[in-house]
Amino acid sequence: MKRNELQLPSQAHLKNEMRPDQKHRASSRRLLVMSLCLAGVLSSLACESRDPKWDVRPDEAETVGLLGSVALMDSAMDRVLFLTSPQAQKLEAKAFPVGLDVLNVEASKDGELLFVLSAGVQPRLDEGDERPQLIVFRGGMEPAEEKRFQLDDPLQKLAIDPEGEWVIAYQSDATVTNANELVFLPVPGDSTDPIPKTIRSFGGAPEEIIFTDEMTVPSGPARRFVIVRTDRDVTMIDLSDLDAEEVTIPMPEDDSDNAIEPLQVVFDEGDPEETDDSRLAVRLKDSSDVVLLELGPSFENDKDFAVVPNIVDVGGIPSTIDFVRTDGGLRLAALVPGAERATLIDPASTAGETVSLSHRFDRMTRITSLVDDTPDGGDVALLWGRSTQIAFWSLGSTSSTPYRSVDSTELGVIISEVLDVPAPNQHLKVLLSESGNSFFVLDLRNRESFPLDTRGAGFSVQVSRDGQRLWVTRPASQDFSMVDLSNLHPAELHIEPGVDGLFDIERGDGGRSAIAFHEIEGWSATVLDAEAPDSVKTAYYPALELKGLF
Amino acid sequence: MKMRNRGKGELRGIAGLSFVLACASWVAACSASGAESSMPTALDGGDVAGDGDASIGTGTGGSSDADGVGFGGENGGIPVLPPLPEEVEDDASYRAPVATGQYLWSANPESGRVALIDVVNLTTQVLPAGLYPTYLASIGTDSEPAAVVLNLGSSDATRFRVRRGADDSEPEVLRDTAIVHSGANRWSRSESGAWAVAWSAAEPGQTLDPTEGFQDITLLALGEDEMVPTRLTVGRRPSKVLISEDDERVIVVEEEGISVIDPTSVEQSYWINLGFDAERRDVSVNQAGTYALVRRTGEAVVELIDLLDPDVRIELVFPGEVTDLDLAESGRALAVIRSRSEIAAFTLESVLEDPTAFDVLNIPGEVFGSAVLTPDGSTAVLYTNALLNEKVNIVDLGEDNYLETRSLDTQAPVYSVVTSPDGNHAVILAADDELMLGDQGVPANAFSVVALREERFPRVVGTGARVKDVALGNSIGLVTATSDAEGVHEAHLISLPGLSVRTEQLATRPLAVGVFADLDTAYAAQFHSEGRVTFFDFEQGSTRTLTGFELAAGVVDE
Repeated sequence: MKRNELQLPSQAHLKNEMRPDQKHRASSRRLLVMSLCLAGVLSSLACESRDPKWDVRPDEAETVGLLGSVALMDSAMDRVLFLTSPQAQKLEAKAFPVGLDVLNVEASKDGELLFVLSAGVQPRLDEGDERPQLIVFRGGMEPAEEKRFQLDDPLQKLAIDPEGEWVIAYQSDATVTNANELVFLPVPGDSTDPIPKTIRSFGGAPEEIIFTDEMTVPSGPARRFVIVRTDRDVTMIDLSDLDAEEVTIPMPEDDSDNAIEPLQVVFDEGDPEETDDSRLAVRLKDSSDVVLLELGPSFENDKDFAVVPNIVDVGGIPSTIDFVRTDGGLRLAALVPGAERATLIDPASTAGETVSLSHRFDRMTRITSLVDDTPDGGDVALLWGRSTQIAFWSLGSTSSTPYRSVDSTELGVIISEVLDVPAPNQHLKVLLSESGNSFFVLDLRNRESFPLDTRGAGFSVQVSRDGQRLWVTRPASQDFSMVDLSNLHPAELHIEPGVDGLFDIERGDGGRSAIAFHEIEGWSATVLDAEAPDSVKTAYYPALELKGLF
Repeated sequence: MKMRNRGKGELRGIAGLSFVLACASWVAACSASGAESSMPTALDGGDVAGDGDASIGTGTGGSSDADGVGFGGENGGIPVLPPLPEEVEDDASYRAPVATGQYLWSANPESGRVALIDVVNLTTQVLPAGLYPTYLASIGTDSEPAAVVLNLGSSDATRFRVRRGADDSEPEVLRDTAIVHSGANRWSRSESGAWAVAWSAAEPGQTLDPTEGFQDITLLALGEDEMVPTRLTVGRRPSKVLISEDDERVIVVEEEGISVIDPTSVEQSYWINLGFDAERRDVSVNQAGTYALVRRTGEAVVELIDLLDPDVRIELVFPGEVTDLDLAESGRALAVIRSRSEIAAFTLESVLEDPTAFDVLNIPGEVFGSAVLTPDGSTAVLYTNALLNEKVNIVDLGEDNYLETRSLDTQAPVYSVVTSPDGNHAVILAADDELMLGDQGVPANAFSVVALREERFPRVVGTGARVKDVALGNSIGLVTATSDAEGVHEAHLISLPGLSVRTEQLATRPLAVGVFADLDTAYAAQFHSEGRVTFFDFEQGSTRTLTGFELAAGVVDE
């Protein structure tokens, strides 16, 4: 066993033995833990002054669910604990040191990586004082430190490339801050050299950083871009050549000659066979104008493309925009909830087409690949928002749906969020209601929506990474549920103490474990078989904050 | 192409209202007498009337039509109308984009830039100008496109010249600047492109101080290397500036006279005094810049002045008050005698030899006070906007069917007429019949497209808002209609000679229109803080809107 790797003793047997007297179970567990600690303390006092680490009280836990582990940030001890589950109801912990004064912890979208950004010693007075750094951990069933970047400044924010190629650290609270300095950190490979880049500024600072897919340009190979949205402009950075000058596009001005704030940036490569039809679109605050940016040919020999702005009016203030495929070709779709309509803009001609909607829809997501009855050459979008309806918007004609039809369904509650479900149940969507009293599982194939009610408000729903089940929990509650997405059967579960976080992770034997995290008088966890959870088949692991300290 | 409408408001309005009341009374009287009246019978008001009972030199009597337009008496056998308000002409838009070759130029005073849009590929260059570049003029040719803009804030003019390379690279734009007099807001240029004149005039609605004479003009020699300005002083309040075909004279029509200036030797200039009756005077100058025709309201006499020898003045005496005088590029002229439903057609050559050598055509039963001649002078469109009248009369002035006429009913009172460059077609804008009774005539929600040289029905088009602008080429045309209150902004695309009309919606209020005849493309510039132009490709049937080309100037990539 490695120094920082522990096989945790399960208390499942104790738990089962004590089940008849469940009212006293928690206090008995605490008594046991306290006895063990007391014994340790006495023995330490008998020998020599003890290591100060034993006096450190755990901070409020910051937990991050990963693919095959749960990361538990122990900021007080400047370390991260990775909890893994090698077998059913088994839990292991691995501790890794992290930098001093952790500022930010985030996981990659796929849960493979964990990024820990720390400030180090500030101010640095000695040569040996730790620098700000970013540590990248692999978050699977065998957690490991992947690489470590030394930084010059204590940066606070992270933008993580969904493709796993880059992470960008930016903005700090140092005495003097260059808000427009972005530090590019290459994730794959051996390089640990940060690449700082200060983007051109006209007074704004980054508010959102977006990584595009690969986009074709008129000259040179296709490439990916980083789009930086500030409160007054949009900047494009060529990820294939970070030394190249970025392109800064100002936004239109309002009547007071102030640049209108961009709120949303979307992108589309256009026809992959064409090299001059990649585009961005920018939604503006309180404006019916949307800025289209076409990556057209440049008349300058040393430039692979030129950004050609155009502005389209979508007939009202849009709540969201996206590029969609219709049977008429690529269109920019804008939902205009105030007018209960959508506008489709041909980006080539900027000609607009209005589609009346039966209700006020604010949000949309493309579900084309998830439905069986896909229109020829057209997308299907799911609409929802400030109404009790959802709608399927077909952007092409099919045998069963007319041209650009909008088929709405009454749900009775306002939908606030739509969760994707990974394969193999990607045809399902989870619709969360604003009230939190209920949620819906929407079957996109059959256009059926199944309401699932919760006992009261305040429950949260998370979808397992394997797409097989939902976990419905409420903070600190001892009762929670697992909903099997194959049959929508909810399994009522109960564990003590209350659940402060639940994570569905891959297990070493090929199964999956659900790790319920508890934060009462220290850190503890209860492990269940995620695929067949049973309140009587659990294993309790106490005093997680002590793991790795021996 | 000539566009006319109402403009001199108050007196005309009162007169117009009086006239309508008078006509109503008169029509009531006519109705009482019915078909047995000694007056000619009312016209049927159909879509197309055949050739009228036109006669040359004499009339056949008055008429009353179904819309209540009647005649008030006879004068020498010719029925005469009661007094009508004056026919009026439109003010051109001097702030509109201008086109040269395949390029459209658009100035933005706020940003200090001029956008150059290549209509073929819709690429845009945004060029720096001076302070508040506002008034644009095309000064180039199709092969060497160029434009000049007056910068109001810096009192100078910036010239842009496009130099295209052999490949598809972005054209180079040469730029130079010359100082002009303060307050210049109008351009005139010579056909050759050698000269341009920046001058000043009152803006619509502007109240002028009596001492404000706009007497400064700046003559610009448009040399290859630079523009050379020469400041000149002319008579008070110029209304028209022309440069003669041979570039030898700059002719400035003013409130009290005409200045004739030799651009190469300004000391050789002279002034022709026309008197103090500017408010009732209308001066036309022929394209060669050799003769001026002076019409005065209420008078039957038109004065012909030899601009090369101002002492030579010939009086042309017509049968009645001339309410309009139009002079085509070809030298063909037409005087309208509304009170007698007559026109007098002549050429400058003919009346120079014999002042009575004009042909008078009477069109009985028709009311018209304005005439629009096609550029070649071979067709005239007669109409009136001094009262509600749906009819236009088309007069053939060509040799084969000289002075043959036909009448068309446009189904709405006529507001103004625009003819195509080849003279084959015209767009007739309808007037708002309610507001025509007041003092401000405005276009209505309709227009007609008519064939001038073949007997066809008029294509009548109803619009969703008031018609605003018209641009007409030989094969395409564009009419815009707009209403901010109703949020309606339309572009009506006209295909000729088929008279088909297709309607498209515009996102914002149209400001100006134009056609690129060789490219089968029309454009509508629209209101938008960042600049907006919609291009209509008639051949492809496609529409493309460019908005925010000012933003392109703000994109920084180096």
